[in-house]
Amino acid sequence: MKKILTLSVFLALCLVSVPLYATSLDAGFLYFKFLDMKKEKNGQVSQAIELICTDPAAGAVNVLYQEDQNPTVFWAPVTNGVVTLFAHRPSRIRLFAFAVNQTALPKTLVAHTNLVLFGKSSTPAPRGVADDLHANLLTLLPTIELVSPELYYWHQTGQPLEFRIQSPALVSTDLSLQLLAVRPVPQMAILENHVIRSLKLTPSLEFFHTPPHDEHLRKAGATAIRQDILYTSMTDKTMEYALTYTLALHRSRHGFDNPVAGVLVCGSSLVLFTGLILKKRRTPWWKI
Amino acid sequence: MVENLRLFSQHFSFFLLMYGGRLGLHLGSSLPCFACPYVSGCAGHCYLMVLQRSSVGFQTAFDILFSSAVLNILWPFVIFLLFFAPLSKLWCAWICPFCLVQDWISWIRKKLRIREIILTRKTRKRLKPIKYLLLALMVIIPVAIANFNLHPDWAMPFCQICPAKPILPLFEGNLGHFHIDFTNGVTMGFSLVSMVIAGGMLTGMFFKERFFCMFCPMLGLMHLFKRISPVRFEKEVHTCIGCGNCERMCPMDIPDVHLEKNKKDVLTQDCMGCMSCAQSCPGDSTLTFKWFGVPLFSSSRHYLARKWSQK
Repeated sequence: MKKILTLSVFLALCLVSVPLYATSLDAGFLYFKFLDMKKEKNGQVSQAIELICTDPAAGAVNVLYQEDQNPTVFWAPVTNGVVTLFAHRPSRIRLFAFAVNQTALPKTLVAHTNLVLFGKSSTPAPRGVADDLHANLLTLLPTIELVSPELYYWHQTGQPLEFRIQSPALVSTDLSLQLLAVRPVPQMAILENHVIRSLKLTPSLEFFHTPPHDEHLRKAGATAIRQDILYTSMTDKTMEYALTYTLALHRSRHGFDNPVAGVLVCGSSLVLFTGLILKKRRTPWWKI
Repeated sequence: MVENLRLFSQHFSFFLLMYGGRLGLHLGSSLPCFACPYVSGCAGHCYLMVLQRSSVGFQTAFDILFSSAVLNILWPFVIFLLFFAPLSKLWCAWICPFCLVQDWISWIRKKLRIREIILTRKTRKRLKPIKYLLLALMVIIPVAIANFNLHPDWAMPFCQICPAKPILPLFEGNLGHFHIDFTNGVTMGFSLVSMVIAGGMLTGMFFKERFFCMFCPMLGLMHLFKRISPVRFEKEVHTCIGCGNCERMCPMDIPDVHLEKNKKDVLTQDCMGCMSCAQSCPGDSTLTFKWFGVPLFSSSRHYLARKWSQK
């Protein structure tokens, strides 16, 4: 079986407020963009996620999700291009969307992301179970998967993240990749592409990426997120695939800690207060 | 001897709460003592952290606060009360891990034959409101974050400056909480204050027994609900000879037990239930700790005589 001819990985770093344009990557693709997370009055937590498709020729988009402890695949309801997921208990969710562009060389657009919602309610949200045909597609379609389980619910800048290109059709081989960063310039529509570095896939089709720190995130608070879109395109003779993975990143928790300064301040405080006590006390400090 | 029993309880609780999580024990997040969540592998968390958190604490929008979702905030509080009610302030002197750390530091001072500092009654009186001020800030700041656009890095303000946060993890070999966080101005400010307080508290705890307890907001919170507990500390005012032993032996230097001439209930806001006063009282049944009306410990001259003869 002739499988992959070319494989390239692009990393599209885009801030939430800046739109990502198809022209920037010169390719049509589908991706998720996280909107507001909200605590509902019944204790459920909802997460709105915008579904953005940059390929005007793409057909209907199917959105499915799956919870970690539950193999059942559910339909995710889409209203005006926005998916809203509800959780009544702590839930780790894998969200997928796919669409097909039926042109001369058919193209499948696949979007994927993971999220955790800490719902706390006795009222489960209504949801529809996907039919077997669509549910099985999840195992057949190629996707970009985030491997790092220990960083699963709180991904941070400055930490190496491990990804795997999951594809039953992909031959496990040593391929050379290019990692591209699309850096949004505020108030600019056209995004700049430039190569950061070359990556090499491991035999198990894994690659590593360390998201750089972000000044906006540093100022915005611990819960603020930046969204990085990882993009890869794969082609064989019969089908082209455009895969994306939306990575919600928090600022680094300990990346800016300075232990030496901390010990110095604590030590100075200790010395200062000891001096103050010894100076101010009216009884001798030793026991007779 | 009561003192030995208390020390055993403190040590047992310390190891249970600090390392019990490694054995699979988890007592929840509503404990009425300083079982610090920053100690990985601890067996339960201090309720003060939950109080300040979002969704289960006061960092919650008003529309949620005034809806049925407020049950999510009330539930941890109910569990806190269920833990607190049977033992009241005995949690402090008999269970709290941070209290034991203070006792260890005091023990070192005594071994070095360094005198304890004595705070005047006026100074102590001035310091009393601080714990309530901290408690109020633990509610006001999270509410302001959720509703008035206060910077989110003000989240969990007390935990950020609590001296237990850098000190207790030392017992699991973690020095990581002694640092200055240069992420932004707010985090830097909090971490600076935290380090200054940690240094100040370590000094204070060395020179003054139970120094941190004077400022402990948990003690203040527990005092607000002391009425729901079956633990009572009573003084028989007619048999008190006014010797003042209770005040002298009290690690918190509480004068009220000594000075009280009318009321029977002498469980004051700073009392931690260590029973040092009752142990040093020469009056038979003058000071009594009761649980559901049953005496837990009563003062007696024979007990005092036996205690001092052993020393």
